[in-house]
Amino acid sequence: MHELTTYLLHYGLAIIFANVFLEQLGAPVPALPTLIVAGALAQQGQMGLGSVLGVALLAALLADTVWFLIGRWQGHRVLRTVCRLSLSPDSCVRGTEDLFERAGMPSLLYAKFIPGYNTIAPPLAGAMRKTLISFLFWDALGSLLWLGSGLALGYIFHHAVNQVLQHLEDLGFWAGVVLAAGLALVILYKWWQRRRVMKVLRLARVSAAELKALMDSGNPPQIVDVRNRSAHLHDPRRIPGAMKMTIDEIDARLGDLPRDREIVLYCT
Amino acid sequence: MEKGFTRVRPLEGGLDAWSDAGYHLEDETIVAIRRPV
Repeated sequence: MHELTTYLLHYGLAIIFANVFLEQLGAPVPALPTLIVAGALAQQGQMGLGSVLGVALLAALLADTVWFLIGRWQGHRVLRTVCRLSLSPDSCVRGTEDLFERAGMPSLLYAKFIPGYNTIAPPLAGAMRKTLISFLFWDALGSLLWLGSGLALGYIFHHAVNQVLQHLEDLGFWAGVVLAAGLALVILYKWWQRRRVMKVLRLARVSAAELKALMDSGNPPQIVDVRNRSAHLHDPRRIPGAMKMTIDEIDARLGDLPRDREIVLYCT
Repeated sequence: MEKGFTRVRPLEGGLDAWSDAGYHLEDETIVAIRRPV
C-alpha cells in the first residue's frame, strides 16, 4: 500500500470533513479532488462509502446552516459581503437573487454545481426568511447529489486516480510542496485578476459621495432603482427621486429614460 | 443601453453604500386596497 494512501486512510474522514466544511464556508480549497480520491479508495474497499458520504454531508450541512443563520440575521446585507469575493458584486447579488426568485428552494438541488451560487444560496435562503426545516431538506438533497457525483467519479475512474496517487507517492515530500504551490498559484492568480478587473470597474462607477454631489448640482442625474421584487419587499426604501425599473423591464421602457441627463443605476 | 444616452453608470456599492454614507432615503408608499364591507 502506498504511504500516501495509508496517510489518506488514517486521516481520510477528518480531511474530507475539513475540506468540505471549509469549501462550503467559502474558502478556496476545492473539495472535489478529495471526494474523487475517496471514491476511488471506496471502490477498492479501503474506505467505507457510507461513512465518507455521512461525514461529508454533515460538514456541508453544518457550513451551509452557518451561512443560512447569518443570512437570516443580517438579511440581504450579507449577500454583498459574500459577493465581494466575486468579480462583480452588483451583478453577483442581482443574478443570484433573480435565480433564487425564479426557482426558489428547489434551486438548492443544483446550487452546488454552479460556481458562486454555491456559497450565496444558503445565506440568500436565510435572508428570504425560509424555514430551517425546508432549507435543511433541500440542502441535504442538493449536497447528496453533489457529494455523490464526486464520489461516483472516483469510483468509476479509480484506475486513473491510482496512477495520480502513485505519481504523487513517487514525488514523496515534494508532492505536498507541489500541491501547496499549485493552490497558492491559483489563489494568487485569482486575486490578481480580480484586482485588475475591479480597478477598471471602479473607473466606470459612481461613488455615493459623487452621486450626492451630482444630485445637488444644477443638472442632477436620473437615478434608476433596478432591484428585483424580493429586494424591494425586504427593503422598501429608495434613493430620493429614483425611478423603479427591473433589469428585465429596461429594454421595454427605454423611452421613459431621459437622454439629456446622466443615468445612475443601483441595486441592493 | 449606453447608445443614445449621455452617460450610464452603476452606483458603487448599491443602495447599501448610499445608506451607509448616511444620505437620505425615502420610503416607498405601500397602499393596501380592501373591498368595502
